[in-house]
Amino acid sequence: MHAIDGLMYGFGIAFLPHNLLFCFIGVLVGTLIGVLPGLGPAGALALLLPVTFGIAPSTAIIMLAGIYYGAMYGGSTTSILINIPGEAASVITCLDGYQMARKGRAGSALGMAAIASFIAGTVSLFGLLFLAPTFANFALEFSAPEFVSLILCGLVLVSFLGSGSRLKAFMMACMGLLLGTIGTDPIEGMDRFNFGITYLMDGAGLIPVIMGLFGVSEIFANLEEQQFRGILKEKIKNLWPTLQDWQDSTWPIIRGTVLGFFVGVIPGTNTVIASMMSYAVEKKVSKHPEKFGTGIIEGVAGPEAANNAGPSGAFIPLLSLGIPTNATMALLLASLMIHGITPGPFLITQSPDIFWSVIASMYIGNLMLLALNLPLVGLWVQVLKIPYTFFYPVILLFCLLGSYCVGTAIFDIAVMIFFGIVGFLMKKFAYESTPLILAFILGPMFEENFRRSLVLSFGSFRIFIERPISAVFLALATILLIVSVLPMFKKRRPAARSKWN
Amino acid sequence: MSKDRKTDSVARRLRFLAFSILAIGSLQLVGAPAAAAAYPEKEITLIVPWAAGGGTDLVARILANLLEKDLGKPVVVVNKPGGGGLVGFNQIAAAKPDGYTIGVNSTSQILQKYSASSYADWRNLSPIALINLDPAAFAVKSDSPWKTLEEALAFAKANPMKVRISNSGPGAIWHVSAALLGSKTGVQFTHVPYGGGNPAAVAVAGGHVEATTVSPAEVGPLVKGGKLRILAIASAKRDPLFPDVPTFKEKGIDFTMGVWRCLVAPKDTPKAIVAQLEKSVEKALREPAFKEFMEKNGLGQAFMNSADTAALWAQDEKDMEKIIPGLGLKKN
Repeated sequence: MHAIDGLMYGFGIAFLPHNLLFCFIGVLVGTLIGVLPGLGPAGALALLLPVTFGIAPSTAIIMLAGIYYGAMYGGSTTSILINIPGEAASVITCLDGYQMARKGRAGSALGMAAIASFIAGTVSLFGLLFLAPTFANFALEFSAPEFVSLILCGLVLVSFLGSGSRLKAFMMACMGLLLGTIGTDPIEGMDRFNFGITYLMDGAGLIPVIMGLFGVSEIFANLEEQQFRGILKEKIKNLWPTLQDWQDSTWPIIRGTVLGFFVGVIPGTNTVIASMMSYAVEKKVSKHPEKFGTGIIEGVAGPEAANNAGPSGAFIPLLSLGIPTNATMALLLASLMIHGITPGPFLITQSPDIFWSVIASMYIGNLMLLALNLPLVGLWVQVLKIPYTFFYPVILLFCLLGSYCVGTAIFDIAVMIFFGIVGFLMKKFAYESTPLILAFILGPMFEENFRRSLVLSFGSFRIFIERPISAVFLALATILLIVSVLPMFKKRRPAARSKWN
Repeated sequence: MSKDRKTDSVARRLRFLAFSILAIGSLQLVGAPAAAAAYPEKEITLIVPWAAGGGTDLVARILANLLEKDLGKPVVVVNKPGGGGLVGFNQIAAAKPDGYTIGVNSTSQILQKYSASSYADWRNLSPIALINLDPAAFAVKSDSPWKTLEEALAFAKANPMKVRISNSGPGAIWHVSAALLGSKTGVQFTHVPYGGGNPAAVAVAGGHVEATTVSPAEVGPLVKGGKLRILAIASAKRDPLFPDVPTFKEKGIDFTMGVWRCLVAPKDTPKAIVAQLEKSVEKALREPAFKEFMEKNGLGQAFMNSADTAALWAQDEKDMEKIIPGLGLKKN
């Protein structure tokens, strides 16, 4: 189907009243969890997954996708107003956004954040629209060895593109790989590490693990801290940016959109990396890099554009290859599978309603978000004033209900609480949970495809370098590994010498 | 261990026999019609041992709606996924055999005996009726040199292990099907497990393997899209969706195999109740709403009564006993 015809067909479905309603619920919930520090989009998606069992798959994905990109909008509000990222991807927006707010320009920052998000969100969709069908044709060439090399690339990125300690990220990725081996061996069907527990025969559940690591652990961590509640007292005005703001922001938005989209496509990256890279790029090309961090609009517009373009990019490998690039995408994958839809090269031809209606709904959702975040920003500020004493018990209750609903098993609740405690300890000792969860998701895919490759090649390892796509990814993974490991050795050597002298 | 299991099963059978005699006796005392007339007095729980929204779940939900209309009491679907269905099978088997807890099982229950470290014996259930049957379809890529089954098998025979067949998972029904085909025709295939029937079909379309033996529903969209070609179907009769495709039987190969879904009750559920449910199911399967749903999803429409279903289970177990030890599956 031609892209424009497809899009029109998609709008036909997306404009159905119930789809509009679920799209609205999605972006509303997304904004809410984006605004509230604590629960991120992955946790929120896991919570709402059971709600989608009874509805049509396209409607379900429309809502769940809405939560994802909606959270990207909402996160900036909290970053700008109280210097706490409402959602991990907005951490960069704090740098200049909060400084702008302190200078009395909160309105411009909020306005530009929403506008940059809108432009990036809608423009990047064209990328998804035109590239996904092309990519899907290309995806048929993807056999087991290509998956192996691509996932290897992703796993290298996971452990070396994190924001904290590389060693810790690497350790967490290894933990995730180990956790992923629980369950049935994908090639020979042997039971592994289930300790005779029937519930572990299919592996540890993705949803309880994500809810524990990203939901419950946040609650535990926040219980310990005295929350900073210094919301700006003054009234927010002048939401519409000035002409000067527009001039300063045009290029950062364009660069941020392109960057965010392509970073989104790569497995193992997340929107934090996209916005971090955008900030770094803006600082590098700027004529006045020293002003970054003092409250300039470029520092808000670029990263906000990047983290809103990311979701569009991330849909490409999910829909055409069935590879989730991050935890949120893994949950979208799970919800597609629950509805009996296997993402892959034929998704667009076999379930065109899902593909096109989800894209169309993202245009509608972005419009809704612009309305929700510009005129109604005052409402979200009020939400921030609700004491956490009311929020946390409610979120915890929803987590308990949500993890039970997926499999109606008490065991899942125990898994969730266990990972809540693990996640809490990880936060306390500055271990990131993203590498763990990504390795947990990608690890079993890696193993399965690695062993399948060897069955296909009748045991020859040459299959990985003989196939061109696979060879390119392997080379890329090797380069990435060398590039990221080299500085570690350079730094260490003088230190070691001084120790011995 | 094996001795224990054997004595255990003997004891179980004796117990079953004793109970059946008692049950028949008591029925004669009370009078079967009276018991049947009283059932159902309250809502019936239907356990689906797989996640909500999946294929079996959808079939169960449609059936539950139709049974509800016929029986006049609510039929509530409860999903109990986990352990490849084991969690749900165990719960159905452990439920009170009063007809108020029923469930769905599939071929995988019989297969688990050979592939999983623990399994639920089908002898702990009593079949109500078979509600769906999907045969194996031997499919190749549309630009494959093999136009007929004979050509494909002749090549495979001349080149042992060179023909790679994708299946839906190690020890799953389509793996067993391909192996059974191999043993019936004296051919050795290389079996390549995928994460499900759809990815297995896509692997053929992508040219990564030579053939697959998944269901017509799973290859159907790709066949219609011109990517795959079905050479033969392992059913007794030709598939109405693919009337031009011959069966293996027509080709002189005694190979029928497929995946089925059945409505089941715990063992020792009163015969009258099972009979009443069986009648309700038969009626439900004839409803246009059910037929339409099955057609839309490419699912094979079939019905078998309680006795025939039990015979099918026993036959499947016999077939699998012969095939599975040769598959190279590891079991702990």
